[in-house]
Amino acid sequence: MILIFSIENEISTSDVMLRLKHYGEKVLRVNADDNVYKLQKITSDGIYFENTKENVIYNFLEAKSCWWRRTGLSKNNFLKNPARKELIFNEFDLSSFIYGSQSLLLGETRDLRNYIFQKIYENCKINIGNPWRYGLNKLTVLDIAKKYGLTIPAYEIVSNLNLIKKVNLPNKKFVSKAISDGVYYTLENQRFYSYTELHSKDDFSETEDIPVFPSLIMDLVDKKMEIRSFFLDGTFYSMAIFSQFNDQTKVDFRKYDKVRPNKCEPFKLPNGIEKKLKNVFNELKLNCGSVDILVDTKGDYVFLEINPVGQYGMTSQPCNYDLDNIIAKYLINGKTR
Amino acid sequence: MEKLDKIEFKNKELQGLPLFLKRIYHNQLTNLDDEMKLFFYDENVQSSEMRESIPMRNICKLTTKD
Repeated sequence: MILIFSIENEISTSDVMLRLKHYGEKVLRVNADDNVYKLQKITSDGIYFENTKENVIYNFLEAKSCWWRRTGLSKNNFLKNPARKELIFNEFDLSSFIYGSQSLLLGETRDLRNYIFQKIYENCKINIGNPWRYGLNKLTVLDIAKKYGLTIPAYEIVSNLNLIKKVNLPNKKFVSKAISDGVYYTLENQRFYSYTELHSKDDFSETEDIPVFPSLIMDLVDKKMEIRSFFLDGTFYSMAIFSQFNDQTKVDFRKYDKVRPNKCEPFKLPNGIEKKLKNVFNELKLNCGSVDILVDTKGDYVFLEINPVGQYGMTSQPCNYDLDNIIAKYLINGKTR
Repeated sequence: MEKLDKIEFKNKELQGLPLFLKRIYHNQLTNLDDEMKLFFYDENVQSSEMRESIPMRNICKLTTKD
């Protein structure tokens, strides 16, 4: 039995499941955002979840391998009925004990989730992903990359726009990025997005005192190409993206040009760069993730970030890597080849 | 990208906000009720999925009078 923790409508999870089905494997997919798997009990010899569609109970500790793709377990998996919002006893309104940001159930959910993943990961010799590494701290990862000898872009965090004209970045042009997650919000019938954006120090030369929330600004790397590399247990599957010839995509290739799409090709990172990246993954206790790298006009490799739960279909399809099949086979036998 | 509208705040309007909010983009979504009709539970993948990952038919309802 193979366990996959994910969310609804996650296309890569589905593609891997179809491969596993083709190979005749029994797979359980646990989504954090549906109501299929409900925790029944935890005992000394098992963690039992009920599949409410099949009315079958499974002991998750019987799994031979596990892929934590995304989220996987939430309060949904611990409640059989809709969450209670009220708790009133005589004159006391105790509702905040069980609902809202102060809810005690949040802590219970967190510790239950951590324990369940810990036991499953101890039990499964073959596993992919790390449930404790959903969002990596971009600044910490840059520090780790630098520690292992990778080149990173010069950056500063400023708390006033009048500091930008004096920042110690090599170029006049720089980019702004979110330290954590950028904008991806839906309000009513509109969806809002943010990207890596280009600025110039000149745009702020006359700026007076404007205190801002601490903001990450990074030197603009004059790039020859960018690399998106999917990493799985020691092997890199890399793709070169020639985004620099198109004004729309040259700062952030996610501003896709559907009329003139960027050329993408399979790419082999130099062994030395792969070795340094493996050290970064090891320190982060990750055996899977997507790395973003730039190659500058001098040919130097500049590390940008690691996304532990990123989409890899965009690398797999243009480069014909068939990563869904590689992941499926890894879950079956623990090997990437 | 070609269908996104841009919001750009002036420097003064960024007071107290991070710089990455200076430019944000937005677009109108399809009608959520219509979009939900494209989802179904697929036993093979044990999840609710859209019938096609890249749906070809237009599910937008016009929300303006034109």
